[in-house]
Amino acid sequence: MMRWDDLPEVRSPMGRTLDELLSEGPRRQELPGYDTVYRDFVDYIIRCTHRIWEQKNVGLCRSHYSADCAIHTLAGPVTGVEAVVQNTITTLGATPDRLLIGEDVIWSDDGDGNLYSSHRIVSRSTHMGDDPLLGAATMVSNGVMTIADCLCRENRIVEEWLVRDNLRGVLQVGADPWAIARAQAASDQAGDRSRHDWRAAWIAKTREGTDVAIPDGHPAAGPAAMLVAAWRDDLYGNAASALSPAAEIRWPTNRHGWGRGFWVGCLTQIRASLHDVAYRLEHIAARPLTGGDTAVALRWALAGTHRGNGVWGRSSGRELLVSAVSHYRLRGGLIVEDITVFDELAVLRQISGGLGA
Amino acid sequence: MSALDTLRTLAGGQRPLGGLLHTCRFDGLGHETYGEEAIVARMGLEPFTLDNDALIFEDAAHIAVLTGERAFFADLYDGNIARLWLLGPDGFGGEESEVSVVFDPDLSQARGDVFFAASDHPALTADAADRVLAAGRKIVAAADGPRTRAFAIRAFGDAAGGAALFAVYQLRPDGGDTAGFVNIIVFWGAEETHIVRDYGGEATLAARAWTPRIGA
Repeated sequence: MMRWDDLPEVRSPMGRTLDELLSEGPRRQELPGYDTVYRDFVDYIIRCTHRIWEQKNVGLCRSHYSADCAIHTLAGPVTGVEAVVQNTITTLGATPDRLLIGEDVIWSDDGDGNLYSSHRIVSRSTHMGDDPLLGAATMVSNGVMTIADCLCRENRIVEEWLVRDNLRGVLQVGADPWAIARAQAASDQAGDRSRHDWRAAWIAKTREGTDVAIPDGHPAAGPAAMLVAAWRDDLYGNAASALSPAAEIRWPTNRHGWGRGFWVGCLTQIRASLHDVAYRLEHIAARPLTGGDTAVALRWALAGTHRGNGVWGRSSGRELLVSAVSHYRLRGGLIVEDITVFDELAVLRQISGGLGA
Repeated sequence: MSALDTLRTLAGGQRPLGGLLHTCRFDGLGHETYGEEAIVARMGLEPFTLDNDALIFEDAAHIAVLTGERAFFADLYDGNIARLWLLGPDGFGGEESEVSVVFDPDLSQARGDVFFAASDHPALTADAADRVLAAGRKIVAAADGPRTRAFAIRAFGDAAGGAALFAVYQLRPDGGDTAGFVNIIVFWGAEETHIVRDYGGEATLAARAWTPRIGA
């Protein structure tokens, strides 16, 4: 299994032009079973996203997802490639000019032919058609962050964890997030509620709390220890010492600021609402960046009981799940950038009684 | 196309032929946007001309340009603009909704003024670090009230010349109903220092609703 910094010729998309990213040429990495057009794993992620979304060749999903692929989102699982095809077309039906601008692909070789990517995307689009989430067309241009963590084998995504800043998108088009969340929750309460059992299982696994192992010397160790110090031990100041004093912080719903205190504020705002918290680290990856920086991706989950009045309104008493991915940029041993994404709209949906018991 | 030519084209509200990365993030005049198309559209709203005698500092990873009351600061990769700030007297308005973060910038009873780590800025020489700190303290001292902090988020150059970009946190001194960040760019030469404020950003901050919750 390769080290995190092997194959430096397989470069991050950061700082590269679109022409360079999409230029065709010889392989830079062994990719058994992958289409010959893909030069390396980063190219596979960037180019197949471009072909499916921007070139509108949505049917390519059938050769890029396994038939029984599982996609995990905080709004519920999506299973099977045909559901992926339909959901993609539905999204393009509402936002046809959607650009999926790939900021970074932080990847790892997880062994046994498994390659894992954490793909950070800013989606820019115009809300030109009616949309199941955003509602009636507003013609507003919007842009939100998504991180897609994909487990890939032989040209196919076999499992995906998708986090999207949906609440920011809802606010950008002027919709009422609580009204949407309540409508979703009402729909969730109809029919066979066992379809939401995934959420209880995910919470149970998070409460069980066994973190993914981190190899010695892996750059994910510092950011992972930071999250443990904060979420498990409530030692926020100690945790924040992993950050540069002027680190840039981006969290969902347009939380954007600078410094250790701002980072602590992002966490305590949530922790004040969530009591009896459990945290679990689910996956790590890291890659070198141009100029000597290091990119680290952590996928993690948080479970807790909504007992505090605060950012998410009056306490509901519900047990909530948060599924998040954080991308960090490390320089000189400190984190200079934290971009964390989770679906806060799906949190409101849980608070409103949705997504099962 | 040089980075300066790219900035000149953008200032004129035109789409540069290369030089602006498709992933570029733009922050300026009270607004943030992302991607080449959106940035060009935004710049086209209030075009201006880059002076021929603009003050310019550039290295492999940054360019900073002072032209009249406005200033650009940009991150560069291979001469292409990867991130761009524009400060000046104008404002685009239309700041989007957010969840306001409730926080303490200091984490200490000994209140801070300038937050700066030299390791964040590999293109800043050791003898220029004092210029950055001094500029940050000048920004804080000139602020309306004591609840101002300067975060040095970009800096490059040496004692003879360089530029720094600050994110300046303000909690309004009049007990006003908002807090947040605005940008300031500082240019220094051997003798003089120029400070460019983001008036559009300040107006946006003053008008921003304080919303430490997701609305009902």
